[in-house]
Amino acid sequence: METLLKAEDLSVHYSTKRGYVHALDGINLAIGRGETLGIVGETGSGKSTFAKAILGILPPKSRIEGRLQFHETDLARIDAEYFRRIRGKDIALIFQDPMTRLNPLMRIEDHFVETIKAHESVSESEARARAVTALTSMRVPESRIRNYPHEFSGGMRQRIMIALALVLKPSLLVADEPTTSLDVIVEAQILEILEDLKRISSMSLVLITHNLGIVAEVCDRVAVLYAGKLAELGPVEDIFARPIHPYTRLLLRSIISLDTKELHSIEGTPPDLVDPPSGCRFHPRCPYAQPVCAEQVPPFVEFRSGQPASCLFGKDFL
Amino acid sequence: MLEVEDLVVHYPVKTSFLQRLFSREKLSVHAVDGVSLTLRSGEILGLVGESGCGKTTVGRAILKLVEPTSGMIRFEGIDVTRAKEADFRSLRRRIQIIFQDPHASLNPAMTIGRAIGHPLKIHGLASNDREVRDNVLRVMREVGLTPEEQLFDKYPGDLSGGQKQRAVIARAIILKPRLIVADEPVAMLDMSVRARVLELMLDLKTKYDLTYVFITHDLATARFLCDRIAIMYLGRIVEFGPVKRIYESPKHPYTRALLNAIPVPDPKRRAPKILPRGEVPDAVYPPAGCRFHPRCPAVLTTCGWEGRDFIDYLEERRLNPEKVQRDEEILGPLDEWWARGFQAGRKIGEEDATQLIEHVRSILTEAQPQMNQAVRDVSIRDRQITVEFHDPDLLGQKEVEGRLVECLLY
Amino acid sequence: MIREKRTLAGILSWIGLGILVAFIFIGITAPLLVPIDQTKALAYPILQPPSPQHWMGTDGIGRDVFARVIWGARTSLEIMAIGALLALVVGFPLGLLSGYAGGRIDRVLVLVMDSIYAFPGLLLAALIAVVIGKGIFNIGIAITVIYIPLYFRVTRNQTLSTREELYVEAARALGARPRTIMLSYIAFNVVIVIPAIFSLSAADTILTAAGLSYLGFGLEIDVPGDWGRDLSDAQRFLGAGIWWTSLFPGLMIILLTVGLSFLGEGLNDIVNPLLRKERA
Repeated sequence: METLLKAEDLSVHYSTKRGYVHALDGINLAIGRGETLGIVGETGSGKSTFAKAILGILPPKSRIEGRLQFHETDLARIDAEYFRRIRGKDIALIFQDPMTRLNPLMRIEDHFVETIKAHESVSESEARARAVTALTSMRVPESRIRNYPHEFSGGMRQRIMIALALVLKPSLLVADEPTTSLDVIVEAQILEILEDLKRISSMSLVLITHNLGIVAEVCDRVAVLYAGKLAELGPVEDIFARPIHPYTRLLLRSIISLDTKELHSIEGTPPDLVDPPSGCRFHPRCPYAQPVCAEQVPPFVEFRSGQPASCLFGKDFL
Repeated sequence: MLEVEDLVVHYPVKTSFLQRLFSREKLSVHAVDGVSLTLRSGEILGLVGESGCGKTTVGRAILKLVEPTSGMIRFEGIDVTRAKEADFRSLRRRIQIIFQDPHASLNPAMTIGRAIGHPLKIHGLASNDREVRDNVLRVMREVGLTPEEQLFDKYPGDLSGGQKQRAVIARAIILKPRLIVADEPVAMLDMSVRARVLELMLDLKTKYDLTYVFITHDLATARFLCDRIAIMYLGRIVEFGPVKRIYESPKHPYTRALLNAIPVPDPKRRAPKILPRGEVPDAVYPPAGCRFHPRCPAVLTTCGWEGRDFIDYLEERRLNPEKVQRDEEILGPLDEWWARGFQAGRKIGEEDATQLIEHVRSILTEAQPQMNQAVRDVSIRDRQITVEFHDPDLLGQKEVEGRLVECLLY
Repeated sequence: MIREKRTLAGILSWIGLGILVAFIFIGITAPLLVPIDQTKALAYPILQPPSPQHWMGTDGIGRDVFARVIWGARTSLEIMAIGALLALVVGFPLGLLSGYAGGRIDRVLVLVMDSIYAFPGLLLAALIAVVIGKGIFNIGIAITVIYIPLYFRVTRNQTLSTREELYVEAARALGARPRTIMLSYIAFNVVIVIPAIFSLSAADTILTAAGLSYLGFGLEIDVPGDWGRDLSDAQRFLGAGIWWTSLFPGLMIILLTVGLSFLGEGLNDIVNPLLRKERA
């Protein structure tokens, strides 16, 4: 499969009054064309930072190290102007809250026209026609395209945002917690839309979430982040059925589903990213931790074909 | 322990001055529209539904944080619906609430210790500061907020989400209440932390002999935790009964849709889902008859078809590239169509009335057969074309296989 | 909890604070710096330009301008203290009550306050001054009245939004009485905005007080320092090229007002992000 986006030893940190926050530390992963990659993590895992790095919307005082290769461009090295050109056109983003993308003072139709004309020189009428097509494909009636964002329901706004993100046919869509604030039925509807998109286009999707349920429904591969580092990466069936890293295992066990008979949780709290634990960042909470885990940083290696994990004892968990 | 009878809570809608001037209607949000339930001592009752279904409002009504528009609430035999705040205050010791957002339910200007101990001060239950402090430390230990001496003097901003929620729980139980309403207590917490907080709630239940009303949109958690569950939709309870029965064989189409929609954390069991169409409608204008009828995959002719459904159907057709042109030609722009109660129609201008009525009849045959059959008449009178629907059947709660369902299928 | 940011806002606050502190110092030590007889009429030859004996020259009645200016600081600060503080002491609780209680109390209070607010400030203060007479304390009262609506309004708005916070609802659920809620839950979180408003209204107070004096409604003639009055008196000498009797009092007014404004704006910039963060 052709690789679309590749992170090589990607690190992001930014300075705060208490010190450097190591939001991302040495991330290595690749996303292929047409692939859906799920990035899973809890608060402070760095998953949102990864999304922001791809889109060039990191906070002002951040520093990036390593490479983030998108086609021939290293996203870690380009400036804001370059990002402006590729954002929307080659890489698009949808958020948890559509209202951060939709201007409450602008009609929906105008959102589309503005986006289209910012990247392509087409006439106003053609831009409007494309807006209508994009919206009706998301089941937003043409009679409503001159409405304002607040006149739509939450689910519809999310659909509008997706339509807006896709109108220029980007090759990569980054979805940061797209359904977290939605009800379960609307969530399922949105996931269905994303599934359909996968089938129709060869667009790649990076789905960032803490909800393992939707990862299982929609993703081809999964990356598990913990405290800014990659804990595990692999095909979705393997990650769910044969997880290697203890964090992945415990996380999967803590999911409450319809079949849950017993509650399981993970001891402790997520680590402080200014002063992370030494060695393996998960060791203070890991039930299998050995003394060496506090000393050595585990390398991110494949214990099974296509399934690397960063655990010194990965072999024992196969 | 608690009885709710026909609870109705309507919020007035804030309208602009002009709107109030020109319209006769008094608009209100039908947050809760006739909810009845009983809560047995020692059980965990789940109130489950999507946002806007009214479950949170019911919870707040139980705590009298919201005034009921009508209906009755009886707590331990006492009618508290119209109780004055001064009288109800002493009862508040026995009913407490845990909110969804741990970051917002603690006063940022109060230390944790002071916040947790505040209920004791409010109700005059401790004679001196030492006693308050001892009680607070004890309760902090119980909820796992340790080291309690250290955390006592911290402000909410210094704690994690899970710790904050524990503090909220501590504050709720320090008065040793009998009933706790938990409004989405773990929705905003990380998954690895949820289990611990839920476990804590179960431990406390045993220890203090508590009864819970557990409000959530998460059916999976509800199944695990609750004894009985009430599924709510747009202000009404659509299914109510023992958890096992409802989950194993859900009867109401909405319950089935909810269960179906839940993402399953097992990639091997991916299956296409049959999802109800559209979204939850505006609570200011609830649909007629059964409120779920516009979206129900199992809808009948008598479920409450009305004018608005016809307009929605017209709108849907406009999304269809094959139908849109002819519809636009003959039916005209959508905003010329009106809907009132069980009728819909439009004024006839210069168009050919015969062609119009024929087209309307023909598109009705292309609609859902249940909607088509519910049409009583399509007629032209006084330069108006009117589509009229039959009145719906009366909806009531029926007992089906050990639970109550409000659905005409039964 | 409030941390300074090394930004323009932070720098402005420090400058403003510095100016304010300087003026307070001057005001307090006025009797030491400048003995009071130097402000009495005909202590010196009239209309002398600035010189080593009279750093800012002398005015039309033979008073040392520098001495007048120093004592003027004291007077201004006294008025500011009375005016702005009293306004705060009255406006804040009323705003709190009005915002929390709502209903008829709120409607009545808002009506009253808006009426006062609608009146041109200086005019109203002048009217009140005419009615209750001259004197530092009376001017202070006059100014208080016109600033009460400001504190009322700001407090009421903050109260209204804080009232909707979840932790206030939680307090109600616990059974807290309205008084407790207002004091422990709302007041603490509302009070954050007060320092900024205080500085800004204090700046305004100085101007208003000077304006009153300028128009002749202010203080008695024999008050040791009165910037506004001095400005007014100095007007007729401007044509003759006598600039020092108007420049220095004017400069002082501007300096103190600007200093207070900087402080107020700076505090505002610090407080607003804090408020927004709390909500997040």
